[in-house]
Amino acid sequence: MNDKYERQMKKGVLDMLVLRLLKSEPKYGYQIIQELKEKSEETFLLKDGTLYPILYRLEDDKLVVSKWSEAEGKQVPRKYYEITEAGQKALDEILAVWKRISDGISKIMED
Amino acid sequence: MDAEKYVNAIARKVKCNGKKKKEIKKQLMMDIHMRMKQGERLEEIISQMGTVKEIADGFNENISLKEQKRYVRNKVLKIVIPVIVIVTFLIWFVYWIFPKSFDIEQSKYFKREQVEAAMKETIALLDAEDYIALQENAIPQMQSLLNAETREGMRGTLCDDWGERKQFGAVYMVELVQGNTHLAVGEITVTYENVSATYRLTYDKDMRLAGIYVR
Repeated sequence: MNDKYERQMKKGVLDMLVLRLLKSEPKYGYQIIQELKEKSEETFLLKDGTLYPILYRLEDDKLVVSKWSEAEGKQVPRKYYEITEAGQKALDEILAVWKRISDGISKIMED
Repeated sequence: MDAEKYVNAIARKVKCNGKKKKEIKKQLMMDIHMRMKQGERLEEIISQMGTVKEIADGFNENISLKEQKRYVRNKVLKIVIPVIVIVTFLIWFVYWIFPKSFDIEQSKYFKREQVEAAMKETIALLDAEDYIALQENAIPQMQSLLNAETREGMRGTLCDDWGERKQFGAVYMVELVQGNTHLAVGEITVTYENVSATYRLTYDKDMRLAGIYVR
């Protein structure tokens, strides 16, 4: 039962978290998975099958762009995702919505 | 299971177009290689990433319904179109291979007068027992059958002594088409002194005798 609620709640904020992580610098998929895990202290343990479709969708919506890096030496080529101007704008809007919802929830819960 | 098999199995189960599948495979392989470089074993990586079904389900849950529908529609079309082509071909082939008869007047290969003349000539040669001339105007498979024994066998089914030929009756004919083979098939009733015989004679495109039947 808890799993279901947790999954639903997390699903709603994943776009926002991914965009937020990309705000500082371009990142590749595995790096995003690792950062989400570390920064959330293992609250967000994303699998590849969850992250990549989100990235594809964000790319389709032109909120991020991607670019494969050249393989240097023994380094594996990586696909970097970078937030776009539209992505920055969307992130600001999502954060504003998140704040409003969060405040609303807090008010209800404090009653 | 090696990394490539694992990734291919996932891509097969993801409901998206080929381009995206290729991208998914490339990215998953990239992640696996990076994890392996950090010292993780493939078994550990697979257990962290999830089973083929889990990871494919993850992709499918996050792929838009529109794209999934398009994938299913394309997959169905990939099956339906070849089936339609095969069924159409089979129908055409059965039609092509099955013998069909057409009005000889419409034929590109036969002329009614020519066929009628050939029929009368064949009957005259049979009556005259001119087997050499008959064989010269017959297809190879027929040549060995055009002899006295066959003639007597055919005649014997009706009457031992037919007598002299009196007259030719009406002629009916069609063009028979089977595959690439075009034949003229004609029936003619001939009155003899003691019997009335109906010949069914068949000719190929070169007007060589290809079949003979008497009743």
